[in-house]
Amino acid sequence: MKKYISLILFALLSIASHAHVGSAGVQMQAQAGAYKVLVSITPPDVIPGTAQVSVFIENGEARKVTVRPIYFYSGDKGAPSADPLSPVAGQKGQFQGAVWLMEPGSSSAQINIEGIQGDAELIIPIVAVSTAERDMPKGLGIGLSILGLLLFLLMITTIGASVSDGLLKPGQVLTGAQKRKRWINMGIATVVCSLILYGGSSWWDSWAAEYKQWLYKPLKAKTAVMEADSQRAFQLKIDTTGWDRRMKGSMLSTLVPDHGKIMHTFLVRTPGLDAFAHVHPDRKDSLTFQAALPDLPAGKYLVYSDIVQYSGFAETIVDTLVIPAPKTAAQTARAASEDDNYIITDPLDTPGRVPMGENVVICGKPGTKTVFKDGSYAIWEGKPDKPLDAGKPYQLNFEIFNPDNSPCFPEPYLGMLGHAVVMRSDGSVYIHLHPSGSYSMAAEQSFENRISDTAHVARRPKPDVFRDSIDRHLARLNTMPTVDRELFLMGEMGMYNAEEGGMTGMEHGTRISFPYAFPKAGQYRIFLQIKRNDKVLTGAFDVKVTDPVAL
Amino acid sequence: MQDTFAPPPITGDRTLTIQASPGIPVYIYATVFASFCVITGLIWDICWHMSIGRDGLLSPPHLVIYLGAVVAGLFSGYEILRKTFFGSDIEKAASVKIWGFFYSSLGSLFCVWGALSMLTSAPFDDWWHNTYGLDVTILSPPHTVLILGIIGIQFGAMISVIAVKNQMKLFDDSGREKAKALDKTLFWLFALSAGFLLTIWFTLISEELGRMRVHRSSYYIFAGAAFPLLLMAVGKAVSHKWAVTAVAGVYTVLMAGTLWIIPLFPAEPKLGPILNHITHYQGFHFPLLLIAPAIVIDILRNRFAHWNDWKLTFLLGAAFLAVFFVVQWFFGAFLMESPYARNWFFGSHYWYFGNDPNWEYRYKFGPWMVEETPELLKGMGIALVLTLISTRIGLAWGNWMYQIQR
Repeated sequence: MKKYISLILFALLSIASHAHVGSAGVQMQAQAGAYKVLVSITPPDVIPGTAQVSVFIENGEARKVTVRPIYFYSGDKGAPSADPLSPVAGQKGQFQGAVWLMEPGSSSAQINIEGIQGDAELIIPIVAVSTAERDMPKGLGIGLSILGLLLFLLMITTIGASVSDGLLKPGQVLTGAQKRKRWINMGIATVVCSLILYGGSSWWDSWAAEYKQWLYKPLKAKTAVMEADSQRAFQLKIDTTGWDRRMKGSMLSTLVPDHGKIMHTFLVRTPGLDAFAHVHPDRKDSLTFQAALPDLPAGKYLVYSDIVQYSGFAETIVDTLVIPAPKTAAQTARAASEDDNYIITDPLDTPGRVPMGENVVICGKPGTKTVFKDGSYAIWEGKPDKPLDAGKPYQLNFEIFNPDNSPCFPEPYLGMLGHAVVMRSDGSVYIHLHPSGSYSMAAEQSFENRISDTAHVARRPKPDVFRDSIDRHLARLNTMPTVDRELFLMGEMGMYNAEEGGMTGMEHGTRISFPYAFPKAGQYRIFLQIKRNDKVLTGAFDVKVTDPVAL
Repeated sequence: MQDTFAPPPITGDRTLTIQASPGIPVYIYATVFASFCVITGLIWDICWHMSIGRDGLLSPPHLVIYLGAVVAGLFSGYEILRKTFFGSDIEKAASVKIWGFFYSSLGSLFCVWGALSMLTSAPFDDWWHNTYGLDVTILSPPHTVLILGIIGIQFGAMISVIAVKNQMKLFDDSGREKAKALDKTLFWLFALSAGFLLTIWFTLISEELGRMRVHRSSYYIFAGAAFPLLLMAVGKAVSHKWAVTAVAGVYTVLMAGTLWIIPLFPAEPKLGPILNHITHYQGFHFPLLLIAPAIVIDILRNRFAHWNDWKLTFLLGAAFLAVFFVVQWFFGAFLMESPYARNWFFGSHYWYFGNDPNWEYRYKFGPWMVEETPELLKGMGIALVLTLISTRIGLAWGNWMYQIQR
């Protein structure tokens, strides 16, 4: 029985896997000019469709907020004029509206703010793909069937009347022959109308089949544990089966690095989510990505690998991987990159049952203290027994302290003050968050570059030249000293400017906030990653999310 | 509301010479007005999609279309209920009886069917958008239900008028001025309703009849299959020397009128990608020169009125195709290539906002827009066969309309 349930779960998982793995909404927190804003976007699950946009002005007073959709393909010049967002009654600083996303692929919402503190602008990348398959609701189906039947009968009756009493002068009555003629014609009409209905239904079926063709299908890959120089490595190979049909072309050659890495991979042991690793596979060839495998305990792992296209289209590749126990004691992990990190923690809902070791942390809850492996700790603001609501945008606030209880200022890690991974217990929701939000920083940069480019239609880069330039860029980043590299990455993301005196786009404090809206109810685990004393530290927190609509 | 006509007491005799001509019932005007609303709303909607791109359920052109549906549905529905529950025996005797209970005119039945069909399409279309995406095409299954409903209303309007006009023949008061005026009014109501129907006929296949296709035989295959059907029918339906010309004239005026009026209003694209930035509405098509074959058909059918329908089929069908081919081939080339066609009058410069305005074949026939002579001749052969079939059916349909009494 359990086998079947897990089969069903995995089937569900593969349906839910798309660009954001079950978490389609986009949250962004940013400083736009003088305004501190929090934006939440719910993209449509069918393209063409409309995305719902909410803007909260946290600091500053806005008079007018507008939004317009910018597609990567047609850029700023090909985008329509902006639409105003309407102020939400009774909620100061809140604005709501919609953007129309007509093209599948990489889109964005450009938000303009006019107010007392001047004008400001920001851009939020959106992955626009169709992910939903719908059946007709029963009530609507019954209603339409009744109307359809009525139309069918009325048409046949009308045709019958057209050839019989409709042609009679007032007062005349139908003869036997005319009555027969009426019945014959109604018979013919029934056959013809049935054929038309049959044709219509075949047409509908072909439409549905065509739609299915264009439904977003996540990239597939095979992951494996490799042996290289008697050490273990993680390998991901993209599965290109059926790509000819899907016209994917050279897309893998036009990947761009996000925070200086071509791929971010997270390994999480299932079902307890009690082992976690964040690694950065290097590109070996167009299809193959490889990284040193950390010393993770044996077990079944969910694998999530994030990549970003040149066009700003961000995707997550999902797979499952069985990591075996090392055969020999010598077969330990190779020295991993300093940016890679892993932890072991207690399984979901069974706290405290974990043997302590070097890489072990105990999972925390809101309001409680979670100690990192170097003795520093983080506290997630909130009440431990208070569940959060699904669908509501939250600021997940973490306060960081040194082991001596003094406030801790974390160092930048891959250009950010912190990283967080949010996962639902069954793996159906996964997202890689930053203090700036739930979107890809690389995608945002792509759009900013695209908007400053005045070309009407985006030029496609030459695949091999582009790939080589990215590989050279990544190799150069790897040789940089850590501090230089962090400054470079922050500068690239617009968060550091030496002339303006350091960090500009993000607050450097002891508190890290991640804007996020949990998409559905369930048990969630959040892995928080920061850097202190040149070491990446990971902590784990659990939270229960309830559906405010359901009881 | 004006009374519907009251024929004399039925005596069992079929001679119905009576005192005064009846008037034209108000619902006749209402259905013709509804037919006008749906077609102008539809053309406006097409211009809206070419110029603004995105719409909602309650966009202004949709409201005009719905107004047509509501007017046709309410007036016709009211007529049916009134006749059924409060109608006099004489009215009932001049109605068709359906489902053993309701009394109605044929036209009202078609109008009610059309309004019901349009009503059905709304929730269907809404669900469709949520399931397969917002509109990017004219013809989708829910839109087809809507368009069938629109055609139902327009057909109903035409049938309503023709029934009243045919009933007039029962009154032998041809000498009276008032009767003549009434007949004239009814003829024009008929020409309007049939002209509106012809316009939607064209709109449905307009994607196949763009100026870029005039030098391909498919253009004449579509036109030959579609237009004679309706044009021949109107020629047979009423005894008027210039019936076909009048109907083609209504089509021409409506198309040209919308082409000249709609682009006067400001509009800007609201959907990306926008490759062609515009500030005013883009117009629909310049009317096809259907008026030319219509005049020829009217002359020929009057000249050879004594021929039977089979002989007429060959004469009128061949004449339609020949005249239509000659005028459209050259006029289409003018619209396509001449700089003199790129103005508000001919409207060749109107262009979808998502298309590249600098496209090399915008004003030039591309290699795929023309055919080799043998291919063209073969296609024209097919066009001729379809034109003849369409003509024959049209004549039969016209004979039927000539007989409608109720």
